[in-house]
Amino acid sequence: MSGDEFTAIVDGRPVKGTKGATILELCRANDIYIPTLCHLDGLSGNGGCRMCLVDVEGQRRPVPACMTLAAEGMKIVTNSPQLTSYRRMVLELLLSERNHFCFFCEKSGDCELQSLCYEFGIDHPRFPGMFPPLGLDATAEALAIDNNRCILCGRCVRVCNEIVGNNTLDFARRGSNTVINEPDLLPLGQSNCIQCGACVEVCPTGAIFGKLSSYRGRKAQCMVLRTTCCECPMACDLTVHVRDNNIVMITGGGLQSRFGGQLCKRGRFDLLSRSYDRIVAPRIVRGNSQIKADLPEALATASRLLREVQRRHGKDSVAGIISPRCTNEAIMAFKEFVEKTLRTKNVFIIESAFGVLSDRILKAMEKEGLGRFSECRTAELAQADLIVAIGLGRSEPHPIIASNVRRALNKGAHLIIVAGSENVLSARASLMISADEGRLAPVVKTLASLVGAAARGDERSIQDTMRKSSDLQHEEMSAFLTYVRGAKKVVTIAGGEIEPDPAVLKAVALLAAALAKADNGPVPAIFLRSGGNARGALDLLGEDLRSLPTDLGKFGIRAAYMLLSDEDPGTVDRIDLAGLEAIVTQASFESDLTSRADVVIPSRTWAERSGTMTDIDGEVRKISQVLVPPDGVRSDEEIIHELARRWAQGAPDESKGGIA
Amino acid sequence: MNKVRIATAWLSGCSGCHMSFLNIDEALMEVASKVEFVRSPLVDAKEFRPCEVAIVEGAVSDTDNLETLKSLRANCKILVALGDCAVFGGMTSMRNLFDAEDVLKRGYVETETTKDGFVPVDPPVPRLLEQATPLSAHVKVDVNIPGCPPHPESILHVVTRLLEGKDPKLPRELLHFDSRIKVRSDGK
Repeated sequence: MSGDEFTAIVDGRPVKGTKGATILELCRANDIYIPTLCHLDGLSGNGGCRMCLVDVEGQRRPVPACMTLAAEGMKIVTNSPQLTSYRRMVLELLLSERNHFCFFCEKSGDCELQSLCYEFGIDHPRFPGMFPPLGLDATAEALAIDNNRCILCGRCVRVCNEIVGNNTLDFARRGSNTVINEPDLLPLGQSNCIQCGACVEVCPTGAIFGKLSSYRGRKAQCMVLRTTCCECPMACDLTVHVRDNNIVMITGGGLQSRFGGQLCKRGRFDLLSRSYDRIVAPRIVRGNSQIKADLPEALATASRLLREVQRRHGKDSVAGIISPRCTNEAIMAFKEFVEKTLRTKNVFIIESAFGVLSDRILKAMEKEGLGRFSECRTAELAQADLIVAIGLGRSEPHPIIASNVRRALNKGAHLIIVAGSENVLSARASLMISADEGRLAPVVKTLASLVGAAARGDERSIQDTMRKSSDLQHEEMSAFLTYVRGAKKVVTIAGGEIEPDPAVLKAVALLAAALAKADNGPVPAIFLRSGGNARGALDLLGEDLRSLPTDLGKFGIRAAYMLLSDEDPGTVDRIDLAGLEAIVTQASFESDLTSRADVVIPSRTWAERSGTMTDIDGEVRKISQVLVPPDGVRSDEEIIHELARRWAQGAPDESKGGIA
Repeated sequence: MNKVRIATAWLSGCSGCHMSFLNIDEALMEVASKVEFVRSPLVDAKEFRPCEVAIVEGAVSDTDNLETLKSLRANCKILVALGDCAVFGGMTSMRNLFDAEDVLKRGYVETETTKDGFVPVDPPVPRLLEQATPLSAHVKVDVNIPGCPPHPESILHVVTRLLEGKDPKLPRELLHFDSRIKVRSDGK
């Protein structure tokens, strides 16, 4: 027996535990049931609800199992008529305190309070109802708090502080008047709430609920399926509740999974509220309008139109355009199609120039031995004691990265923001360093040389650099150095407002490498890309891949094959079509672009796809189908293979050498 | 064989619980052969005859409810609270979040479709109590069947057990608040 193990006696039976385990953890590990209400694995203990009271020999009164450490030789009783009567009374008091009438409650059927009442056979009220006039706060767009249904377990407060790091929710007022609210009692819609919905997921009763999921079905009525979110490269785990081929609710991967199983508003709520017109049947152009067609007809037309343009203007006049929302499998099919069938050099991705170029630069630098950038893991943010954010845009970083940053800051880390716009992290910065327009490269280079000199202990070089710099204030530089010197683990985040210029990007990467303080180790530098599977596309499609320009005509493009997938119509409509003679699109949603296309082929949405995607860390994640696609809507890769097959059939000459 | 005399009453409720009672379907024939309904919302009797079992739906919300309940209690051996309103106060007691006077004003005067409304004060009109309360706030209740409405199986269980002279307390699988949820048959 190692020194970390101990044996306690639970209900007369010896059970083994590991040092540091609470009585609750000890019992759960040994399959001994203790009812709980406020406790949740993955959050800190609370000890508020008193459902888990147990007797410990030598203690004058029962103790909460969730907050009491078990120890060698401890004699614990988890169940007795008296403990049951205490636990019953906890429930009976809760029932009388507020509105715990189950009819018209969103949570009825999935409610932990209700379920415990059944367990304890509570079939009538023991105490009269109090009916306190507490309000419902429905000011937030996606979720609402009904304090009348709250049992003050504090799970939401803990998840908001400990996991999301946003500190929005707290207890307000006192005693039985206590409510869950923002510290200064602002309505949620006016607070700093980011509507990530973590509180919705942990609420045991109907006190906090997602508006769009309400009254649409209980867990027992749903199929519960797992997939991966493709809204951004964080690729969070999604648990999707499906009823009659409709998504009722989306939750995360669980508090103890990657990044605490967090989701953001986009993943949890926006995927539910999105209601664009769906393309369900292929269409082809006929005269000045589009007519419905079957898939073979649409593919034949696509093949004929694109070939026609290539015949007249050359191979490279046809562009291949892909959305970074596609699966790796669709990307591979697309790659084969543009390389072997279209044989065009013009391949574009709907991703920022920063996102594409930074990938190129980092890969080139890695080849030159300037830093192991591809091995960066976002999880390292949690261990950082200094985070340097460079050129973050207004809506950056991705919410889950932001909450990882906040968690590090809550643990005492510092944040230095260099250039960029005001965003969710601005208020938390220890130091803000601004850079004038076009002066980011010299600013970053100066900072890098300061870091380098400090690492060498070269005071003279530091003084020199500080004296010579005209872009930075002396105070900025010395404060920067103080933070850097005091830090053991520095993580750099680079955002989309960094000019997509090789020299600037290289300077930023070199600063990140200098800050990493690790010789030849992986460089913890997170370069933010917007597209969900941008990393997969950048890794798979090779160096010819470019960011989609606003003016395709400039590249001599006359026609395009666009794999738009379930890209937002708003994004799609920013694509400039001037000068295009033929447009073939594969898309899930109607947009101006699809209404002007020559061939429209329906594409599956995120929920209808299967395959894989590559997340921000380069890890491959599984995407599983959670909804049955509309009749006849086939997978992107199937359609592409079919198009390539038809193309080959329709071109006997070409296969023998063909047109140049 | 003497039939068991049963009275049912509908206080401040929606009649849903009585509907659920009727939904015991073919078991109704079996039950009907053994019982005599001395009073129910469909058997109009002003006076109560003594009975073995009284089944009461709805909360106690006005003076008439209270009088009915007390008289039932005095005339029955076993009083059954049927449904969330009778057991807990339920939907009816949602008005307890407001003053009774405000509730009456909202209902009789301020309703959008009402013109020149007034709160009726004629002596025969039962007076609203300050709060709507469960039966147990006023009389001793012997058996509780919560649910909104209680599932027919839960009601049948209690009635059958009472007729058999056994403990009618609901087992866990038949105890539910709100309506019982139909779980997917494929178990997914």
